[in-house]
Amino acid sequence: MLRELAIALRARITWVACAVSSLLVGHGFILAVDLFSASSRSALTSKLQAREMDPLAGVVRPTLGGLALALALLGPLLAARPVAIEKERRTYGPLCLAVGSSVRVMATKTAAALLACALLFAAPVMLFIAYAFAGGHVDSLETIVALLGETLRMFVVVGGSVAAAAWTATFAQAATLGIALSLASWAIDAAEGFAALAWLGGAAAWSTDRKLLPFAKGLVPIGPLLWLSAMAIAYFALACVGGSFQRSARSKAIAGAAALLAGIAVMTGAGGIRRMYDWTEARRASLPQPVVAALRAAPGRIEIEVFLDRDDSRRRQVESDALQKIILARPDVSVRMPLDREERPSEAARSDDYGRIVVHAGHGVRETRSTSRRELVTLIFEASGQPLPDWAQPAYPGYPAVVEGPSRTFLVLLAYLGIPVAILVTGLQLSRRRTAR
Amino acid sequence: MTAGRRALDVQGLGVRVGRRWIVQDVSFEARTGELVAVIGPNGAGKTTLLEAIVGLRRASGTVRLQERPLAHFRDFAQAFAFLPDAGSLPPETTVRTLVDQACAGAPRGARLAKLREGLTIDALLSLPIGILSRGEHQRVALFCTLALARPVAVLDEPFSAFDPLQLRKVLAAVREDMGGDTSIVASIHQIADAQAIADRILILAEGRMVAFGDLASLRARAGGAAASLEDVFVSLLQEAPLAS
Repeated sequence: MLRELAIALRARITWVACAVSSLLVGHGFILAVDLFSASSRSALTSKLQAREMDPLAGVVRPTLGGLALALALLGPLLAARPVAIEKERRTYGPLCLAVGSSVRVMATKTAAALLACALLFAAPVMLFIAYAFAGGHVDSLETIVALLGETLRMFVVVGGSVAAAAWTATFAQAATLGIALSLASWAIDAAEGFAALAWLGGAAAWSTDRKLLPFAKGLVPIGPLLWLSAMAIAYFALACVGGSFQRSARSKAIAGAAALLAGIAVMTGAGGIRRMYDWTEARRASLPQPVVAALRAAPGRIEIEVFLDRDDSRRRQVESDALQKIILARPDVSVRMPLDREERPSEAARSDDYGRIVVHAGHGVRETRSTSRRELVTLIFEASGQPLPDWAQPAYPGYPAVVEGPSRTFLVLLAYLGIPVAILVTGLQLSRRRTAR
Repeated sequence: MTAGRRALDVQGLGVRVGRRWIVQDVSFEARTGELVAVIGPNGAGKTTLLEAIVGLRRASGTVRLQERPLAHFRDFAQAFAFLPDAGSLPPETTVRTLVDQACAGAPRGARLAKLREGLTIDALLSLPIGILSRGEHQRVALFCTLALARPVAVLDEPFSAFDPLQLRKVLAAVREDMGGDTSIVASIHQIADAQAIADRILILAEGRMVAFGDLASLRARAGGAAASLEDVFVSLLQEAPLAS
């Protein structure tokens, strides 16, 4: 392991990539803090406005956006290198013979690649700590959940890049393939906005970014957790096949396909699991506890039909708010979007049915055009003939924070100078090439 | 050198890439305590042959170690240590890291200490791999390979980095390490070196075995009782008998 750690951590590229990543993260962090401070100024005088000041959404998530970018573009360079460089040096085969197993070599190199990529997390973690010292509020549990999401992203990027290195001959090929794999998810997500990528829209269920979204909101979704873990494991299995010997090209292809298919099967099964756990502060992503308990106890199936188009902002709002909270409380709720299967008429040609939300619960049916979560939950209980439970919930106070003056200067210096320079100096020290004996 | 029992037995080994045979129908053996040199012109398939023997390339034919056919990669790993040609040790590490790793997997005893002394490894321990000279690099690589103490060490161009003085010391250390237990199969580009160190020689050309045997048998085949290995090599490749 020492050998692999040295290859991963004493390479200059590792530390340059970390320094660049820290600048990306730092820039996102400062922009987020400035915007949050600007919004907080007016919120300080209004309790109602203050409740909307959510540091997880306003500071943590934008900062981790920089980390996500770094993992997608720079992660493959760090992750592919341990295997690819061994192949370029013509020592991969001899190393496998010396260790006795190509799988063990692949496992050790994957571990080293993970440690190298984990260095990318240093900058955001330090910035969050600094933000807390500067007067901002960072809830540790929901921040850890957000970081867990990026950790899962890291596992997928590393798995894909190691697999790419196992199946290619050079570092350049491996890094290119690794970056292409990690950007595939972005291409799927971009399908909605770009006509040229619209053909990828059908692959929406395979977008890793969509699977990771709940983590950024402080939610731990079991299905995506298993889905991403299965993807990482499938990549590793693919890497073991690619890095093996004594197989013909055909048998390698068959074994690789089998590993992929097994992974896809597990991922498809995991994708249907909707159980989620709310680890946000004051459980603000959930409905009030009595409502959650009553929903879970409500007999019979609950089905909700939403007659809104995909690009209607009300649909996005109801999906991200009311429906998410209802599904969090009751994962077996069936949500259907009937208009997705139809050809989209123009706004003027829409029928009178457009905009309805129909709730089927127990033997009853209710409908509304409101996207309010309170309204929808009330209709569920009315339709099922159950009494509406107490809606009282400890209010999330919100944490407006104005970071200015010396505190802001400290954060700026830390983000743009302190952390990148510290990383570069550490890296240069570890990777320096001694020329004198 | 008196060799012992048969350790390595290669029969009908062939490597095909697409429709082209890189190595075809090569058969030879190596006994314990014996050094078999593989010589041939550039592009003869020496490296491919060695990689096929140790299981890094898929090949037809059979490779047996002590009469036991090797089928799975773990069998090859237990049988062989391999030193590639122009392989580069990781410059990010130090000599000590690699030596410790090699020794960790090796049987303990005086053998390792003697090998370290013979290859003068201790003087290099504190140095990073990246600043070693070519000869020092090769000594460390050779040590890490031989330290594994596998029954057969397969070495691709192991001695090309050494000057004649260093080569004598290295060969003495390698011979002492072999003792009566280990076999070595080594491709050697310099034919004079092969003549000096090999117990038996395998001549390869265009992927096919031209001849295999000790120098005396090769001389007899080429028709030159006192000819140098280089003359025998040229004669056999050109299929022209030597002038007596």
